[in-house]
Amino acid sequence: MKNLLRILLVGSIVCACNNSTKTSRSETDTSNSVSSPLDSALKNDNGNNSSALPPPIDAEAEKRREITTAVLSSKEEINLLESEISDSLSRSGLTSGRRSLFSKTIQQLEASSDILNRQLEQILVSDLKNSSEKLDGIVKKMKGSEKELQKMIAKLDKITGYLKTATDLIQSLSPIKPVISKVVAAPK
Amino acid sequence: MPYKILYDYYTIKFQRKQLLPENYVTGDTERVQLDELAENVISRLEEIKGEYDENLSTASEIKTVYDLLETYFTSLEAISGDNFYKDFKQKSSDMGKKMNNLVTKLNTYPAAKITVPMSPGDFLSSFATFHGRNELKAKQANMVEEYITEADTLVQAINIHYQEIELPIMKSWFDEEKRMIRDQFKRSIAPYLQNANRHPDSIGSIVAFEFFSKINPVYYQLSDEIARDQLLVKQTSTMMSDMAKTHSELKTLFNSNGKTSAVREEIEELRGKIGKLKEFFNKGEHENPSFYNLTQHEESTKNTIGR
Repeated sequence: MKNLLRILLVGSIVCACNNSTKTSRSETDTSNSVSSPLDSALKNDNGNNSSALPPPIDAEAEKRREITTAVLSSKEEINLLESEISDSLSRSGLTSGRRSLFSKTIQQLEASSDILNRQLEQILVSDLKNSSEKLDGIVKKMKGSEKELQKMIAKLDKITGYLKTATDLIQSLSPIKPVISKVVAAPK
Repeated sequence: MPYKILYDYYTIKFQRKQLLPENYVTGDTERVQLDELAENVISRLEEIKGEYDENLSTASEIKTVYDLLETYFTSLEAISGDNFYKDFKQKSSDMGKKMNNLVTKLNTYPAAKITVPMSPGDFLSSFATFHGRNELKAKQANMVEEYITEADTLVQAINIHYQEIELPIMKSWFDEEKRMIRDQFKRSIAPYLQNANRHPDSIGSIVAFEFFSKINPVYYQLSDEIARDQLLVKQTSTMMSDMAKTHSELKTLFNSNGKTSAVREEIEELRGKIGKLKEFFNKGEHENPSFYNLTQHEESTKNTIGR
């Protein structure tokens, strides 16, 4: 009975967490579409009055931390309950009715834990995606710069080539003959 | 979060879930329930596989970020490298020597009325080298500075995300798996132990020992993998901090004096750190689950990630 009450309690926690993470995710999505924390951070970094604006990344990070802590503590509850039921299941002399109940409960708790894990994965991925898009932009620009440097090298190479050709041309047109030093045989 | 840790976590979970005793021993005794048992078990196993595939695609999304981070450092190394003007210096030096040779010959020519007092080859060579190198260096320095400054916010954000969000989640996941594996194995061996102890002389106790000989190595293997991954989580945390710190120093260094040569050394250091992190991203080094068809598993993983 005690266990069943705890299951109900954990069930309600899972639902609550589910709702809260959904809400927070939709909030994050909305904020991303308008201005993401990283956007603000970049603006602050590039702007002149970086110290004048409050750091919005902290508020967002704080919210994420709170949600993560809430989900993790719900999972702790599930784990505790699962451990207790697991102990009960490893005892001998269980009636088939009780065994069936405990067995199904364990599976339900596993499923609840998976739901919460999905929420945690969303928290992990959503923020990283934002960084990844921005990093991708930088990397593309860097590739462009690399090409620009290579073009510059090609241009300088061309100039050097012209100078080399000019030198060769002068040498071929000049009346200078290669100086051949006469070898005088030393008297024996 | 490095892909390897996440991949390991999902794989350990996948292996553990296959061995969940409640998948097979449900406690159902009614005839109708027993008739449906095989179908239910198969469905559950398919579900576990589906979850695993889905989880791997989440892992590959995370992998993208770290791959990009690695590409960023490779590009940074390329645009701050000295290979551009080294090659150029050699070419202009060759050209200068040729010109000097010509002037020397001209001066030693008996019919020459004017001696050329300076070495135009040296001048031309040094001018070209100096001008070319300086222009290139200035351009490179501007580019490197721009990218380091822009990327530093992201590098720091990725590190903070790892330390504050990913690390606690990973720790809790592995702690949870460790405890679950222990509980689950306890449940698995309990009926065999109880039966063998009730009837120690029974021939049936051999079945129990055979079962233990098969299940114990799996228990050790999974426990060891968890311990190894817990260590990896810690090591990655330190490496991520180091990498973020080095990048920040790189930015400070560049902003303070803008010396490309010093920046290059820093980038080398940074690349070394990224190289270590890269080891965790390498999918080819992963050991596959031992009690699962390897070829099919790899194919399926490729398809999932390719989707």
